[in-house]
Amino acid sequence: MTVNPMYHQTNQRMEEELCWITRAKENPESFGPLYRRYHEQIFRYIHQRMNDEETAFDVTSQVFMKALNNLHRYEFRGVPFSSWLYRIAKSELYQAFRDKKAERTVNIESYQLFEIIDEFDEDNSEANKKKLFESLSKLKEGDMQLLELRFFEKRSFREIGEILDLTENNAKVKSFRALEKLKKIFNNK
Amino acid sequence: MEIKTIRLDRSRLSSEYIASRQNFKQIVTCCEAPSISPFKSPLFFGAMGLSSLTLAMMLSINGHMISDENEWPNRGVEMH
Repeated sequence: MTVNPMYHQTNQRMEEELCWITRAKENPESFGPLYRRYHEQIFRYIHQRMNDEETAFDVTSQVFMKALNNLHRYEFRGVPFSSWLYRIAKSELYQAFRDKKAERTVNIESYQLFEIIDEFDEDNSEANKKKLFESLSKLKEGDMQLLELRFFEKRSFREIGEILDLTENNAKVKSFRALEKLKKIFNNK
Repeated sequence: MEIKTIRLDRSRLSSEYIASRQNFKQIVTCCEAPSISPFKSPLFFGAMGLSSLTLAMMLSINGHMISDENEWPNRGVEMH
């Protein structure tokens, strides 16, 4: 499976971000380039998991406010700044679900369903698509989270680990277990 | 947590539209300058350190003066 290049971080990019972070710690106005770089990615991550567009924009703003307020605590430990932002986004997102501001929704494209059907070595028929769609609703939140990150957003295991606070290897094992669970539900239907 | 809805092929918002909803000024104005706890500030320890040192010095000088005052009358008594 390919990894989405949008989430790939080069060393040069990380060094550039470190300079911006150092400046932003002194002057919040210098946070601008980081905000502009990650606003869309963070918004899409949040909006992908909820229905309401306006709430998604509100939660996105909350993420950046929290990031700016806690920037003095950020220390570079080899993990890209984007992963730190995604962790805040995940925490704000689940806070919104707890506060009942938003309803947990899973948004999938048809081609993503067919990609999973391919992984199961089944034929790409409409019947299988419908079966898989129904099977997804039987999955637990934790497994769904892993499938969204790995199979729908095509993130690397390293990044999944950084977002979910797991080791790269653990993220890999858990992602495949989640896929196995989905396959089991699919085959029992 | 319960997954309420699974939606298929929702229309994708354009990057231009998402960019038009950016509001960096609001983020900056809503955020206070990064505040460090006064107990973690070097200024706090500087001020506390200096005042503790001054207090210690004053107590020590005062102590010497008191003991000096106590010593003289005794000497006087010895001389008699």
